[in-house]
Amino acid sequence: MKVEVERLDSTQVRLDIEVPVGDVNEALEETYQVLREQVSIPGFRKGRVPVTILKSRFPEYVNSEVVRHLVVPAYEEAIHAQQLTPLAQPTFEPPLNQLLVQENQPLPFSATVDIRPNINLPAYEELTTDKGSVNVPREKVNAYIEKLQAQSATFEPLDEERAVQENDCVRVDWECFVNGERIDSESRQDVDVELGAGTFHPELETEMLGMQVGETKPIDIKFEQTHLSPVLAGNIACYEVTLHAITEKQLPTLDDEFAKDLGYESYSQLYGFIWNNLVEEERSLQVDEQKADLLEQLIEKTDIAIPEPLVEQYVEQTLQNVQRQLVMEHKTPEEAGIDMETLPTELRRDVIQQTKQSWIFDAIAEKEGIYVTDDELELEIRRAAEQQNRDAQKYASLLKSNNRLDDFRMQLQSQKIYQFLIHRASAKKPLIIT
Amino acid sequence: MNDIYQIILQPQITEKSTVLREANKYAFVVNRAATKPQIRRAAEELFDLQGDIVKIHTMRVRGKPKGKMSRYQRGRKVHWKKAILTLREGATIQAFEMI
Repeated sequence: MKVEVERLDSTQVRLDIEVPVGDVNEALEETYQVLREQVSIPGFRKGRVPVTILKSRFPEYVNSEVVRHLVVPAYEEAIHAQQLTPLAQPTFEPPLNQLLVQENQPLPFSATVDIRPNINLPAYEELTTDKGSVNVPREKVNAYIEKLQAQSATFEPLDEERAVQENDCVRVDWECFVNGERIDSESRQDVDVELGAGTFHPELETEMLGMQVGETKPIDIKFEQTHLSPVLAGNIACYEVTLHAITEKQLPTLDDEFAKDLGYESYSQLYGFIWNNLVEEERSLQVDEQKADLLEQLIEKTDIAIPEPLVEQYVEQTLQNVQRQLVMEHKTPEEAGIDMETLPTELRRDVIQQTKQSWIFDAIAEKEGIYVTDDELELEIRRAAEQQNRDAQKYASLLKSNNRLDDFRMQLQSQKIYQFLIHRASAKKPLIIT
Repeated sequence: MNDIYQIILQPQITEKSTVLREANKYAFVVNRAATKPQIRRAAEELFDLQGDIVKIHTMRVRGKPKGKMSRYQRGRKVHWKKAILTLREGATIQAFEMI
């Protein structure tokens, strides 16, 4: 097979392919054989029709069959041999339905196709990212523990009798009425409230100042239309608040006892656990940052032109999908919160970004041989299944049936690539503050 | 019976006639009343075979019995006449080559 490759531009090539005489004749012969078994022509027994008759009776059929058998495989072979990555279906010249096969003649045709351009990856060392060690200051851990402490605080009634003052803690009941009807879901009994902590409706808090123990006071509050509770929104609710006691907030002491209540053996273990968690959290944040950082640099440092037809096709298709979805849901774009004017630009930006990322990653995977083996895939599936408390076998078959196994593999692969990049990238110079 | 198009009716294309072609023999369905001289003249004119026809064989083919119209009447296909023209070596009938 003769193949000539001509680059039309960085993302388009024309392949001039010539299928040799031998292949053409072989394909013709094969087609006649198959056809002979199938047709019945008066005057001939089945399977005994001579080629000359077949030729004269079914020229178009034979032609299209031979084209089908020769052209696409030849094209694929050429693509494979030239190590090209096509992005879309090729256009053939002449078009396949006009291509004429002739016996004892080679079959020349040409195919134009969009390909992934060659990507010149920057040296990985040129990429920089923050590789500093993660540290969590003690204050952060302390703050976290204080939050825990506040959560398990107890409220003890005060002995002295006085009116409610600002920043007091109080134990109250309240009943909520809207239009004279009691709302159960908004009524509470024996609730400890810390005034001034911002956990309570501010108007209620101010109205409660000056109340005496044992007093019941009706308080009217007008709620906004936008209030989250549909019963209250836009209504005037009357709260009948009964003050049981003025209390004092008592925080538990931070000792082994406190740790045991939370399910740890000792205070130092609790402290260590929290510290570890915070470090872990910080580290995953750092990794996310590193990933974003590296991706941005990669895209910036790699010069890629994305074929316009590809972008347009995607934008068009997505727009159509969106419109179909809207029609199905009987919504106007405004109702669904979609701006039809800016959407194409947004989509365009997205597709360009995504395509660049996937091409760069493909190129890296190819260059560095980073692939996900079946064993790794299995291991990762088992881990994911464990995290979701599912049976690994069932989870795997579920992925397979949803055709998501490939997605899963891709995800793993990009994770590996990120790891590789982080490993190879240079550390960012720390900012020196003078 | 002077119309040549009424004499030679259609070529006979079957497995057997295809084999005969190798011996330069061509089979036709002809008018049942046509004679060999008439067939010769018609063929020479139709296919431009002046002096190329060596021999003409004719035969009357009985239509096959098909079905039963009533208790005493049997149906059949029509009887017809077949003519096999033997051409001299090298001569061909162009129209046949296309089929």
